[in-house]
Amino acid sequence: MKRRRQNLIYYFSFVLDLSAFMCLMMLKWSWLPAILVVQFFCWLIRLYWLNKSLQAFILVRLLHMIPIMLAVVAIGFMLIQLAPGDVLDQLRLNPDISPKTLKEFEESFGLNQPWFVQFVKYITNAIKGDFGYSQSMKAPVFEIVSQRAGNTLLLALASMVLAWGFSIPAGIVSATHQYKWQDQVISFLSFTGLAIPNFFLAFLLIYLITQTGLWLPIGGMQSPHFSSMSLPEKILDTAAHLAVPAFVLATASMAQLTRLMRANMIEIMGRQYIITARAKGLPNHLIINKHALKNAINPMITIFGVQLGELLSGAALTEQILSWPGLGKLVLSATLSQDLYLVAGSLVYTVALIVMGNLIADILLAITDPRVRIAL
Amino acid sequence: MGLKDFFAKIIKPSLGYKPQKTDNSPGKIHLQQFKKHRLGMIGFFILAFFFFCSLFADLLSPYSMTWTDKKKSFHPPSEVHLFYTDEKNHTFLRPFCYEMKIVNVAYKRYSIIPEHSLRVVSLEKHPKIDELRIIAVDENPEERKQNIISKLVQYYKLVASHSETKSIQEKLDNLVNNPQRDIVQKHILHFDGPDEKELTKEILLIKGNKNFLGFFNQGIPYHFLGLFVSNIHFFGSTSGGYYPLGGDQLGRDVLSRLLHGSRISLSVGLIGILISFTIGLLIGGISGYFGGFVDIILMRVCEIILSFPSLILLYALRASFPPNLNSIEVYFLIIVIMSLINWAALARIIRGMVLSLKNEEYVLNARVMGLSHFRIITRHILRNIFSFIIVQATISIPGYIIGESSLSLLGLGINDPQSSWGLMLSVGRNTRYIKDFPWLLIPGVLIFLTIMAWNFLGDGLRDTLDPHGKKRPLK
Repeated sequence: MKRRRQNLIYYFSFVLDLSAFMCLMMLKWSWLPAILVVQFFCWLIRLYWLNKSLQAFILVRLLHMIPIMLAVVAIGFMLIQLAPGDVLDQLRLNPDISPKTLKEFEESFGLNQPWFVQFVKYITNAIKGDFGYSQSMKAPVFEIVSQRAGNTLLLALASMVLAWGFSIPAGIVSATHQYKWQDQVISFLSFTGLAIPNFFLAFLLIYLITQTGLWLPIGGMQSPHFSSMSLPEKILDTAAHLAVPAFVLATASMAQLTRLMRANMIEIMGRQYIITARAKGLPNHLIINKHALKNAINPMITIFGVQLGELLSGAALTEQILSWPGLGKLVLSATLSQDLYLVAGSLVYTVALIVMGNLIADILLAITDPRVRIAL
Repeated sequence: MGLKDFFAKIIKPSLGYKPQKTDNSPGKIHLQQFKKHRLGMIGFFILAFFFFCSLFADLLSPYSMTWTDKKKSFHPPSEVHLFYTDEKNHTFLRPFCYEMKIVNVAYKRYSIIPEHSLRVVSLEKHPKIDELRIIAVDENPEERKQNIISKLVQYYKLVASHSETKSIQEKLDNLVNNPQRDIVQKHILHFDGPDEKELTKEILLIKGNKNFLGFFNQGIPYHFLGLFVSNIHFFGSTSGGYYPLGGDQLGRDVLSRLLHGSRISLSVGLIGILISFTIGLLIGGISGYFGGFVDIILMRVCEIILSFPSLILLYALRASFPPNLNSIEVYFLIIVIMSLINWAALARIIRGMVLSLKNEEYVLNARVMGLSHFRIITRHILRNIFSFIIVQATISIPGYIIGESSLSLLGLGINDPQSSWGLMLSVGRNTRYIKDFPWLLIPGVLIFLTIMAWNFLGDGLRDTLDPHGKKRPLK
């Protein structure tokens, strides 16, 4: 009874978290910091209801994050230091920036002081959320980056949904029809998906779409008349723009996941409890969906974290080619214009996203598989 | 005794054949097993073919990497006609392709020039100097001749009454009056160079609209593998106008650039793994073997590098170097940056394997014998996981190929006039070009095939060298 009530409260906390998020949105917070703050506190609250071993696990993982994030900020700082020339040189050439702002910037990052003082200042500023000023975009780095991060996350999530939605059924089919034509077709597709580079696939799709006259927008995120649309139209429009980039981005992980799912499933189907289930006379679909599937998916949760990193990294190129206004495109344009504070800032931001993804994957795994918590 | 035995036991020894010893060395066995792996062999042959082509790129390409015909941007792939029918209606084997001329400059549409046209052509070695390619298509033969002469005079600043001009005029007269339909005639042109020095140049006077193709033609000179100068090209036309896989935006031949670009695109992976595996093996080996504090520090470093998204880190690192480097510097810079990112994943795997091996008896024996740690790591432990390392190397090569081509694609890597597959694909970032000139996507097909081949080869090697690879500890 107690256990059940605990579970109820636990699920209720997700509703709470959503409503808190809505409240913050109404207070005109931008959505990304809102999510981060709400999630942080909600996980703290949830930690109370989870059992002791899971609490310890999550705390240790959180502690692990700190040195990694520090090191990432250090590398971001190193990039700025490595680059030829003074960071301020380009700012000085800009007539829009008054000498006073320049002076403030110089002081806040300690640019006239030795590098270790600069490093400490960079870190303290980074913790406060101030990653400097971007001279190419004429705005604070953190503002630009958090705006763009939403688009990238949307793209990454869409391709993740696509990849998992395709690969799990495909993996099951090819494992249950091993060496038959279904398996051959799926294996061929996954080999192709693994080998085809994202940019080439994007070009191929562009060619196919322009040749067949298929109506699918290529490039960009919104139609020109987006602002005059009604809400359902807006959603449809974004979804249509999302289709090509999400598919391009998803292929590699689709192929990988399919092969993994197939291998897991084949291994599980040979286990004794499956034979027992067969002997009991259970129908085939029940054996596959209830006994085999759950066990086969479990090891794939670890992939989830790794995959987020791969997707965010792969997105950099896909976004550039299909002009999706995300983080990757931002990093690249910053790279080309030698806007180093923007490069470093978005790098740190992306890594923070990936580390969070890994954390979530670890926690999910710890929740589903108690053995992980003990192994810690 | 069957016939086979009879041959084997009596006839062959009497002729001096010795029965072969069965060789059971591991290398032989692996080779035999690998030969049975069909996909692995396919991958191997594709790669062997590609590497062969890139080695002999100069010889195999119809032109040079930088050869440019500015008037022929986006020339469509030439149709090769094998059989030639002459004016007497005799048909015989003589491959040729038609000379195309741009008819719609805005949309880059080409059409075949008329049959009666006259041409003066020479292939120019330097990309900076405009190609000599004068085409006269006028109906009247006299006008055609005059047209060519006047343009040629403009081109080389010849004097109209000069003996040179007269001899060309005579030759053109002969060409026009000749009953033969297609004629190619050589002429050595003497003219004044930019600094009033007399220069000579071999030009071709051509009647008709065909470019005849042949094996081992003389063309644009090149340094063969840096050894000697040659101007022999395996297949192509001496009069230009032959684009087997089409032309690019500047009027360069796609096939020639593909062949030369393959040198960069194929070698990036090999040099890259050489660097990253040296680092990865050493650090993984040290970390697993010594354990303790060293292990903790090194593995944290690995984790930090692994937590970066590799492509974005690649851009960011590239950003911290000056953008205007020359091609060779960029090439090595890209390789070094990619290897510095990629060693971490390998080091972690190697560490795990070393951890499981370091308490094996033979390692303990080596320690008792007093061998140095370095020797034990390199000679005893790493030697034992060598097959695994080879498989990993093969599998990780595609990453480098993709890294190089995506950097070049985005304009951060190899620059013109050098060529690489990624750079060639960068034209495709303009959607209109993809739509109208799909042959520009051929480098992408080659990248795809190369990656596929490396994957196949890796699978084959894993199945033969490291059949239990999946069961080994991966963490």
